[in-house]
Amino acid sequence: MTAGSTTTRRIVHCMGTVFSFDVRPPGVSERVLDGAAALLHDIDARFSTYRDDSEISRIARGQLSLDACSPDVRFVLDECARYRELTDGYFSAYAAGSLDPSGYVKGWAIEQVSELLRASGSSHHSVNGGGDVQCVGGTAPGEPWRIGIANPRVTGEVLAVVSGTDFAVATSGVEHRGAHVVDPHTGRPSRGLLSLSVAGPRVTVADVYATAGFAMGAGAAAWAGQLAGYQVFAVSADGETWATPQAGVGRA
Amino acid sequence: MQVVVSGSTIKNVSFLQLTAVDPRSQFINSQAGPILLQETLSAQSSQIDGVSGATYTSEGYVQSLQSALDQAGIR
Repeated sequence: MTAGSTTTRRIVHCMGTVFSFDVRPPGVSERVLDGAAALLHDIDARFSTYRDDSEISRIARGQLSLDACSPDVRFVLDECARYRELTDGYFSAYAAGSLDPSGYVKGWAIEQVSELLRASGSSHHSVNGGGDVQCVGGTAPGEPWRIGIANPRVTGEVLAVVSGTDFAVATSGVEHRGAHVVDPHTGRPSRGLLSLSVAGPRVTVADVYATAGFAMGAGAAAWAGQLAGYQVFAVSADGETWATPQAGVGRA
Repeated sequence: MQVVVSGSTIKNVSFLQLTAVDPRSQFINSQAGPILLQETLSAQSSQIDGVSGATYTSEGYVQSLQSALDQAGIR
C-alpha cells in the first residue's frame, strides 16, 4: 500500500497538549509526518515558557535582546503586539504578567504543520492542536470537513458543527483546565462565558480572537459582530448559546 | 454544496460565505467554501471529523472526543 492512497493519523504530545494530524488522500509519507512532529518540538524548544533555555525564557530574563532573537520569535512577538492592539488589549502576550506568547504560538504551530503537509503534497488534511483546528481542502474532493464544537458542560458532547472546506475553528474555554484565560485588564480569570469559538480562514487568528473574546466575557457579543471574516459561537455561564448572525446558528 | 441533515435534531441551518480576509492570510480565501454551523441537541446525531474545544492537557486528551475520533481513525 502506498503512502498516497490511505488516510494517515498522527498523534503528537507537545506543548503540554496533544496535536492530531488527519491526512486524507493524497497522503504523505511517515517521514513527512516525522518531520511535522519534529517541527512542533522545535517550536516548543524555542518558545516554551517552561524551558529555561528557550528564546522566550531568555528574553523574559533580559538575557536575549529582540534584535538578537531568531526571525520567527521576532515575528511572533510582533504579531502578539499587533493583535494586542486589534483586540483592545484583550489578547496579550503579557496577560499573566510575564512574557508568554503561547496564545499565539499554538495556532501558529498548527499552521506551520499544515503548510509543511501542503508543501509535501497534501491537499486534504486537518491539524488539531489541543482543540484548535485548521482544515485544508475537505475530507475528500468536494466533501466538507465537519468539526464539532465541544459542549463545555458535558464531556464527549458537541453543541454545534462547523462544516466546510479550507477553514479553521478555535475555542477558548474553561472545560479542561479550569478558568485559565486571564483578563489582561484585571489579571483575574475571566468569567461570564463557558466557552467561545471562532471560525474563519486561519487558525492562528481564530485562536487569538477566541482568547480575546473569552477574556471579554459577556462583553464579547458586541465585539464579535464586528470581526471581518470570522464568526463566533459562544456558551454563556448559564449554558445559553449565542452566535454572530452570519454564523447561521439557528434557534427554533 | 449539498447539505444533508439527519433526524430532527437540527434546529435551523444557514450558510456562511467567508469573504473578508486577514491581509496576512497564508490561505487563498477565494477557495474557501461555505461554512455551515448547525446547532444540534446530541453528539450522536452528528457525524464529525474533529472537535474544537478548550485546550486539553495530555491527560485530558485521553478522555476527549477528539481522542476517540483519533483512535477510530488509527484502527
